[in-house]
Amino acid sequence: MSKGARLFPLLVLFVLALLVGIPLLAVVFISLKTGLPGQPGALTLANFRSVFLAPGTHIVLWNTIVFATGTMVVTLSIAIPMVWLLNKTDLPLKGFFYLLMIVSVLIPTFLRAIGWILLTSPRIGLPALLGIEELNFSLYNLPGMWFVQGISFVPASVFMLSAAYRAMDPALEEAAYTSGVGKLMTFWRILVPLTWPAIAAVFVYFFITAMSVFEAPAILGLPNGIFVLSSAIFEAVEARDGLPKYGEAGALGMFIIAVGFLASLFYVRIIKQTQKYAVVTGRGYKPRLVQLGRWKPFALGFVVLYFCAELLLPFLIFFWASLLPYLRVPSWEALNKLTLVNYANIFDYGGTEPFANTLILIAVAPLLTIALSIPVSWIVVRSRFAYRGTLDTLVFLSQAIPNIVLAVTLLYLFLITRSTLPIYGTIVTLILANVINSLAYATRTINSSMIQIHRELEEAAQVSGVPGFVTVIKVTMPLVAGAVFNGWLWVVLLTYREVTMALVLGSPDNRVISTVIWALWSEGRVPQVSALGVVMMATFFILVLLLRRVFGGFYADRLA
Amino acid sequence: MKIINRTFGRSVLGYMIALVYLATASTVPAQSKLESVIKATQQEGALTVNAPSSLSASERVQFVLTFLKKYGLKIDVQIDPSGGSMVRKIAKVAQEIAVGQPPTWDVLIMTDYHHSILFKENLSQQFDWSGTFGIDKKYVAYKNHSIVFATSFALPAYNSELVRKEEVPKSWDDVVSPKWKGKIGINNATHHWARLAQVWGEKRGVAFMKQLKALDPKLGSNAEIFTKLQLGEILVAATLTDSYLDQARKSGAPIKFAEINPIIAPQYMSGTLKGARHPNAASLFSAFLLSKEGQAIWEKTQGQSSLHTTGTQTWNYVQGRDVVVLEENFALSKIDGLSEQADKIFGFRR
Repeated sequence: MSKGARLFPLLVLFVLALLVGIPLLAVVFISLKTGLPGQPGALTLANFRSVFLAPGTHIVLWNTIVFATGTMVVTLSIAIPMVWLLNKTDLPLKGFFYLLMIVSVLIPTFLRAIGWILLTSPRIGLPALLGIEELNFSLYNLPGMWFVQGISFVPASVFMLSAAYRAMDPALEEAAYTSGVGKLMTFWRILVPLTWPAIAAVFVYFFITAMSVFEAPAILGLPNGIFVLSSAIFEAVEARDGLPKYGEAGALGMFIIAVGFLASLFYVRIIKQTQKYAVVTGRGYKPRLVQLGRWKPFALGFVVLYFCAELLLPFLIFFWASLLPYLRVPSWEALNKLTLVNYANIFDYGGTEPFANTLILIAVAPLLTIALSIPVSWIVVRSRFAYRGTLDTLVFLSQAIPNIVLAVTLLYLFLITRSTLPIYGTIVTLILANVINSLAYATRTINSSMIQIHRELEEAAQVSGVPGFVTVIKVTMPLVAGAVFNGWLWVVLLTYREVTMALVLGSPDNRVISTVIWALWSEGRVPQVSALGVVMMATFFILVLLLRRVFGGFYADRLA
Repeated sequence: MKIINRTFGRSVLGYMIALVYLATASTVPAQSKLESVIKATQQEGALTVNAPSSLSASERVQFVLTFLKKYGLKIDVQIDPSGGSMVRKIAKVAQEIAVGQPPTWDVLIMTDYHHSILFKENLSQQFDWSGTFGIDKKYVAYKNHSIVFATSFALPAYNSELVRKEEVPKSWDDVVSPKWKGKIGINNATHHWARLAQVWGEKRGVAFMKQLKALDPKLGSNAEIFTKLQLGEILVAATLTDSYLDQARKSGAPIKFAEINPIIAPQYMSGTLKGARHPNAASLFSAFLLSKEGQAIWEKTQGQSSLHTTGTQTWNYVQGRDVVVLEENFALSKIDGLSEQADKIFGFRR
């Protein structure tokens, strides 16, 4: 191995230590400080005492675990069959469903939650329309939160799992079918176990994400007094008695980081056994689709039902709201009030700058994330680098830091380095924050796909005298191109939608569309938010259609 | 109008005298001082203001042009309408100032409660408002750190399509009537209840909060409660601020105030942040907000004006009513504790 090849993993580790390690240490520092970062004060455990010894904290922790677990049950029970149907079967309209999944991500969770409240409210929703007066059903509880949050994670989970399912050699499935094993049994006994690393990646990633998401717990939990960790963090940050208690938020965040650390160890254990899951070998194959036969209508029904819940109903509410002067329940009278004024005024809400900034952000941040994720994934999954476990844990922990705590930490770091690194208040801060925030997702997506590629392919290239770097570019990369594309696309969506960090790191020079949407929402201007959302969804729909046409063909050819 | 607060006086007569004084005084400012501030502003060449996100792009342009025209300035003014919590914006400037950096904004336009935090945390600058701009001392708050330029209102609000006229609350006691059980919403601006406790006394204030809690209210942010009220998921919001009422009026939404006494009146304040890059421009902008032109444009765009300026919509509205204006001492010593208590009673906090 050349000296350059030996140094490369160390260089990647160094970059990651800068990007993730320093903010992580800063979070620890903030959690040990009272007052704001930068204000004088000694290091203390007071924040930990204050939050973990408070009465009711055990209930909050329990609620958090129950919420995250329930959410994952909802997510995985939809996502796993969905990914199989979309990637391994002859289900019709798959391309269209894939597009719908991308677009659905753009509906903010708070609007989705409001849509569901609107639909299920005994006073104004479907029960009222159907004349049902007494209905013992409410969304304002943990199952309601599981449902709304759980279905919102499905598209991202499908993206993450897709590449792994798509690239799989069908030989094992075919062997099962030849032996007379049914389709369902083959799915459970062959496909699920073979894609276990990808499923574990999804579970670990979204379990941790569920512990720190705020929207569904705030809209559906708080009205009924259900607190989870994210609402406790919000409580600390939105202190009513003076300045935010970032130290307490950091201390609560440390709990999520600790769980994230354990989850990461579990994940590293799985991916260390890469040989066990390698199903893409040197032998030529063409992924073959399973014929659904008489199960096709049921499969189609399942997918359509999901899209009704995830996209159609919330979108109809979204679209309906965008045409109204104010939000109201559908009626003949309301139809007479429809207007396009919310669309006509779109550029008046925030000016044109947020659009330009968003364009820069989604063009640069996902590209940097993927450029960094590919070497990280390769080192973690393919190399024998001694610290590959550390590297993966480091990447994963960036996901465990709640966004608000990460943003405050970065704000502090950018401030104290302002004179040497003058990026404070610029779009560069948002780019870096989003790169750190998206690394875990991108690497998990690429890892899941890379893990399935047998070493023999690279070994064959090396035996033929192809240098290591060229092998990665010419052999490994084409095989994981699907995962790279999915990862990139999802990071684009994540970056577009991210609002918490954009608010904290925001300045007059780096406003983006998500902060404009948030500002309109916090003013109660749902029709304006909806109009902006519909336009963005339409734009993304066309953009993704074009991208898939260009890149979809590219990686499909490579796989074939 | 009866303002229930010690700092701002108690009678209409007192206010009339103050207004006459202000009208006279503001036309004869300390001319040379004003000129030197204008000159210094021109030299600074820029200004960054954080204002409510409800200001549209065209309204911001209107604001800037009026300000520049009034003082004959040619400087770069940025009015940043970034949304999000006011407390977090304060935290951001606090962090910037703590590490010795200039704050992102020169001016923060916020409520009296939030300006009390700026003052307590030593994040704003003193300025001689009266000596420089001829501003009456009654408009000056927190030891010359902030000026009061507009008033908002918070009152119970109801959906007028779903609540019959005879059912509309006519007093605060009607708001806690059992008929609203499960049909009332409370927003997280719990300092509204602390403000009422300023005039009712702590005991009655806390008892009232408990009565509200017994109605099994829906909790949420201002925006969520406003949305639920429009949709009819709740029939009454225990309090809503007039910016939402203004929005409802403009869009035709059937949301109205229950006109009861006393009215909660949070004040909008402006002031220069400590370490601001453009301190003269910041002070001049704050003074502009109190000028005739500034008041007119704020009223046009935000639907609010100063309680203390004769003939404004706000002034007309409060005639014959009791108004709760936050006292400085109360803001600096009591409001936090009472708001926290309200948070716990309603369930916004554990």
